[in-house]
Formats: sequence, C-alpha cells, structure tokens
Amino acid sequence: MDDVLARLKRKDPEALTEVMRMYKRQVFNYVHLLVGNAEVAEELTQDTFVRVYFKAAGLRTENLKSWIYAIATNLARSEFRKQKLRKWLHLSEAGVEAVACASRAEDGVLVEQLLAALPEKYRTPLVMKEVDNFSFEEIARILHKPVGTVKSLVFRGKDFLKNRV
Amino acid sequence: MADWQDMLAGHRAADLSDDFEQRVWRKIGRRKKRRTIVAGTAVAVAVATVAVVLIPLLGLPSRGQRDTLSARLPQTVKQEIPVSDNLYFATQDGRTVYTIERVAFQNAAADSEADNGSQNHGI
Repeated sequence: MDDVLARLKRKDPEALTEVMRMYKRQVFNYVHLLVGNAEVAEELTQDTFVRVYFKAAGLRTENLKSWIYAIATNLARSEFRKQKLRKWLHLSEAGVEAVACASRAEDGVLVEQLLAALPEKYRTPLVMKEVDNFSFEEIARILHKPVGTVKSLVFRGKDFLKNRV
Repeated sequence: MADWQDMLAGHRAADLSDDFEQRVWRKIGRRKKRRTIVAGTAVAVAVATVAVVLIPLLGLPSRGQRDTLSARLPQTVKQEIPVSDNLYFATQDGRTVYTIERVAFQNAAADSEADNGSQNHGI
C-alpha cells in the first residue's frame, strides 16, 4: 500500500489505475447511497479519482481509503447543495422525476427511499458506519467533527430509520 | 440486526460503466489542459500588472511626457567653422599625410563674386 501511495504522489498512472481497481466499487456504492442516483454517483466517483490524481502529491495521511472517502463525501455534499439550489429554482423538475422512475426500477429501492428521507447530516455518517464499516474515529476525521458528535449523529440516524421501517 | 441494517449491508449499487477508467483519464486530460490555459493566462496577467505598476515607479516617461521633456531641452546650434586655408597633417614617420582643402568655400566665394559682377554691370 505504501508503494502505491508513493507512486500515486509521483503521479504514476499505473498507481491511479490500481487505486481505482481497489476502491471504485466501494466509493460508487457509498456515493450511490448518499445521492440516490446511479448516474450522478458514477460521475461523482469519477470526479473523486480525478481529484485523487491531482491532490495526491500533497497527501499527508497514510490512510488512503479515508482520504478517498473524504473527497467523495465533499463532492456528494456539493451535489446536495446543487440539488437544493436546483429545487429552489424549479429548474430540474423533469430531471428529478426521471431519477425517481429510474430508482424505482432498480433493486434496493426501499433502501434508497429510506436514505433519501433521512437528513443528509445523519445519512453520511450512518452509511460510513453501517455500510463501509468505518470506526467512529475514522468518520470523525473524515467529516472533521468530534467523535461524540459523530456517535450522536449515527445514533439519531439509526433511530430515524427504526421508526420508519 | 434490525431490518434496515440488513437492507443497508445488502445494498449493491448498479454496475459501473465498462469505460469507467477511460472516462477518468479523459477528465484528467481535460483538466490538465484547462490548468495550462489558466496558468498561462495568470502569468500573462501578472506580467502585465507588474509592468503597469513598475513603469511609473521606475520613472519611465510616457510618450506625452517624453515630448514635453524634449521640448524643454536646450537646442544645440551647430557651429560652422569655415576652412580658409588648406591644412596638412602628417604622421610622425611621414608615411601618412592628411589634407583638408577648401573646396566648397572656394566655389561659394567664386559664385558670390560672379553675382556681384553681374549686378554691377546692370547698374
């Protein structure tokens, strides 16, 4: 892993290909659960690896996975902001409808609907904890939040889902 | 385990497109190109800004200022010293000799004399 990291810092294309092979599915699954749309999730996953390539030189942490997830989380959050703005401007009503239809056709619709109902501040730490098995400390580092806050957010998220199911 | 936890853990996203990696590389290529353009523009703007700031500081005058300044300079008058006699110079070893002869002066004097003569005849 250290070798891949070192090569990635030198912008070695093979290293990025290797990293993509290792993490693309996990990151895509994670982002898909956050944004609830496969097409957008794939775009964001691609953008995540583009950022990995350009920002690897300044990478200080040794935990590559956490760092990649931090990038993906930031991109997903900007997507939430864009979606909110679009909703506010009433520009993408047709787009939202299409996404909803596509989601209905996929497996795991219920999960997506449940997560879509869950506020974003609970959704991100909950998915990290329950799907990607990050520790509370790792989530706290990725989200730049205190560990206590993360525990509380995950607990409230679980509580929300329990009441819904 | 609660039902929602089973559902979350069992959730598998749709498949990624086959050319996922190629798309990433295309995006990287586009971004590199954009970065080069942005960097070039930034350098050009920086150079222009530095030039605009430094020219007045270094005191290089503008075209208008240059005209004003040159108008203030005293005009030098060329002084003509007529050669009335032929002059000879020679190097110490006598091998090279320089001569200045009053060719133009002679011609001018002859012309003026001729003019004076014709005027006198007319009277």
